[in-house]
Amino acid sequence: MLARHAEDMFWAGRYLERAEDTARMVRATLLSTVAEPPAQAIDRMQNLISTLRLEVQTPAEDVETMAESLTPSPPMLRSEAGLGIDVQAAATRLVVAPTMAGSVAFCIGRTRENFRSLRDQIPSELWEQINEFHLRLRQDDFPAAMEQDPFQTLDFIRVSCQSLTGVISSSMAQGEGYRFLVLGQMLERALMTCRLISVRYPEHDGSSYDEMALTLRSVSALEAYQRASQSSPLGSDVARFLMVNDSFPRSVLYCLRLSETQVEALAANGRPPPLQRLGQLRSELEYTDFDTMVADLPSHLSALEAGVRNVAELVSGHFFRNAEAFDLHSQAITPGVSS
Amino acid sequence: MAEPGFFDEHIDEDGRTRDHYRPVQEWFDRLTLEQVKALEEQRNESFRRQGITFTVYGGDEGTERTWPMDLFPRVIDAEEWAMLERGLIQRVTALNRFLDDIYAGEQAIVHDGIVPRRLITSCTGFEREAMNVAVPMGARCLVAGIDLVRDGDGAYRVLEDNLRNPSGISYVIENRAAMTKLLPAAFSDLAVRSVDHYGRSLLRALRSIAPPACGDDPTVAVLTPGIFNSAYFEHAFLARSMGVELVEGRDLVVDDHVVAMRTTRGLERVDVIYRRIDDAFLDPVVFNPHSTLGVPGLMAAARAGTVSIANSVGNGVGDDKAVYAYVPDMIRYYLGEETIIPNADTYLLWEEDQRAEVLERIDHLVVKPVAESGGYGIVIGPKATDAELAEARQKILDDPRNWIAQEVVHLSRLPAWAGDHFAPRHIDLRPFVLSGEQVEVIPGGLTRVALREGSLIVNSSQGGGSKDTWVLGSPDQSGAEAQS
Repeated sequence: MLARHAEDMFWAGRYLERAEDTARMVRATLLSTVAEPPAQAIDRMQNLISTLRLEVQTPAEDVETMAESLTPSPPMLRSEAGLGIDVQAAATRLVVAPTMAGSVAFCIGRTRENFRSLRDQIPSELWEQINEFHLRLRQDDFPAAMEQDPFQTLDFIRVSCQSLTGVISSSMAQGEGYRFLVLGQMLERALMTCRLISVRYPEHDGSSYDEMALTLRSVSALEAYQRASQSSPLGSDVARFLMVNDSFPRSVLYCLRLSETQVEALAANGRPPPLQRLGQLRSELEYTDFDTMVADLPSHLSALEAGVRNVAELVSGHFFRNAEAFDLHSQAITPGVSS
Repeated sequence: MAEPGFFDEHIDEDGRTRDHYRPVQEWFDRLTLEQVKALEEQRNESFRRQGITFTVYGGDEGTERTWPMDLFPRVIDAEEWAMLERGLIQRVTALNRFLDDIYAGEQAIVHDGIVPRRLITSCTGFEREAMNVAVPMGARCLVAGIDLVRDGDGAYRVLEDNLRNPSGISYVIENRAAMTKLLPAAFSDLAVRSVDHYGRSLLRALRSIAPPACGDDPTVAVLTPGIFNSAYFEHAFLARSMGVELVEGRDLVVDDHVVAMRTTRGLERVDVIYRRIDDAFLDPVVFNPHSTLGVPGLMAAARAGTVSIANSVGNGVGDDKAVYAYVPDMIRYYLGEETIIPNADTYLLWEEDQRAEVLERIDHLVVKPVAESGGYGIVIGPKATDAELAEARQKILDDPRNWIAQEVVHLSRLPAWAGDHFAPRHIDLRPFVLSGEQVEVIPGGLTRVALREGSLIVNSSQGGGSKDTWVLGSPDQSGAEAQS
């Protein structure tokens, strides 16, 4: 397939995943602020904002960075009056602000833009669904809905993202394009899970059940965790589950394995750099003794996150912007394969 | 009731519904106001959800608008269509012959004194870069859109030819898909000929012009300027319905006269390009050097015969509105036939006596720039202000070659929804004609309608809408298309 189309697929997958994960984290955070003293609620919201660091495909001029649009808010958030409302306002912005990099509306807008340039490659059902979802997020009354009923609104977003993923897996031919899309989704999900653990992992392992349950719930993992461990969630157990559980579809290990499967199928021959790097990351995660890892979790997590970012760069360098393969003088042009 | 001066498509002089409109008319007569409004709502929702839109340039706000399709269809009976089909095939065959004669032949039509040389060399659409670039089978107008209108007597006339990048076919197919969903019962009463085989017919035509050396499985691609182009929806639609790649200029490279696209597995050769980019932007080496949409070296590859480009470069010489006046002569010259669908009466403004007459009667005529499309730059005499007429006069005097004038054609009328009732509105018709191994006309075409009362401007960029166009066939005809 065209390198440009492959790249658009990859980013559509990343943005779609990003939108869903952001909505999940905002929901979990809001839920826990409900019964909290305002100062704590504000800290929690700050924590979330710092988790949602973002890579943007191509910087556009009208895009405010997360820092520009939200860091000015802490003094305001910390002001005495209307604390609760400001936490809600920040949550609303994380969801509805169309020009704020990383907001749900922004990510869905980008997903749609990518799908728009792939209009000839994707099933019409998928286009109709992303279009409808996008239009709903941009409707005038949407911010008010998010203010008034945030939980229902966030559930709507999660369900819409899930139904898009459903359309993708049930109506899209599972060829190259599909694989790039899934690869984008899995790498983004691995990153988001790493970030979730790094902000939610308690400094002292004596954190409350509620805290850990919230972490799990934000990635729909509480039930799976309980079945798997049958114990009250403890910080290190939760981190272990989210990192190396081999059957939960949001664990980092699971995401890396699925990414590896996609790249293996996409590589024409041999083991290209992104595949080597993925294999290395995956086996490190798989074979390092977790108790050793937990002793210095923050540095392991940031190494892992850097590793996943590196994979994304290698994917781009190998499949989308391969200077060597596109060099006219070193490469024979293969006869076209008609589809 | 019929008014003098305009031809009503659906009723005769005595106000009776014409036979071929009877089932449609009865169908709409049975609908209540609420039902029509519900159908309108359903249609808007469906187009909006599918993102079936077009872009209007120069507007202030949201420039992406949903496609305006009127519910009341246009109906053409089998006999009338048979005449139109013959006339369109005749016209496009002659135009292909003309363009091939000019660019790849001996310019016999010039040497024989039928078309003046200065007329051709003065066309803005004439491209010296296209001289001696051969096109297999001379299928230079691979896709042609011929705009037809009906005058006050109901006679069809060709208003203009679109031989460069005619757009609109995707709307023909989407209109039909929408109508089939909205009014399924209306179709069961009539044998409406199918249009959705277009993608296959286009692919067949494109493959037929592939360079002979590339074997029997040529790779076809659609070349688009990108998602910000007003017709991007259509470009994507065509690539999807043919199952080929939709490429942009930056996806293509030319090496040693071979065109290739950048894929995830390296470079892959392309044999036929259906380009939806204007000549001027196609290849920065020979045309506009500032174009970032095109592909450097593409023209050299075409000249070397390693890639075929459709529509051919330089077709603007065939749809120049002054050259248009000579199409009946071309038909006589190349085919030895008389024109089946006549032109609208046209004045050539560099001819002194014709110009004098036009300047005298300008408030009764339509004045058009020769090389524009999309309705831009047209002055309609009876509707223009004195200042606009004075400006038009001056422009004609400054550059007579750049303008033509035509008698006002009183476009025929058909009911269209006007908010709370159906009212007569003016319409035209753009059928699409494909050239390859044979010349083929897609049944019907895009009926455009001026939605404002009394307006004669049907272009979607200027407030026009569209209608689904039903060509009635004998049952065996529609069966044959379904299988092809």
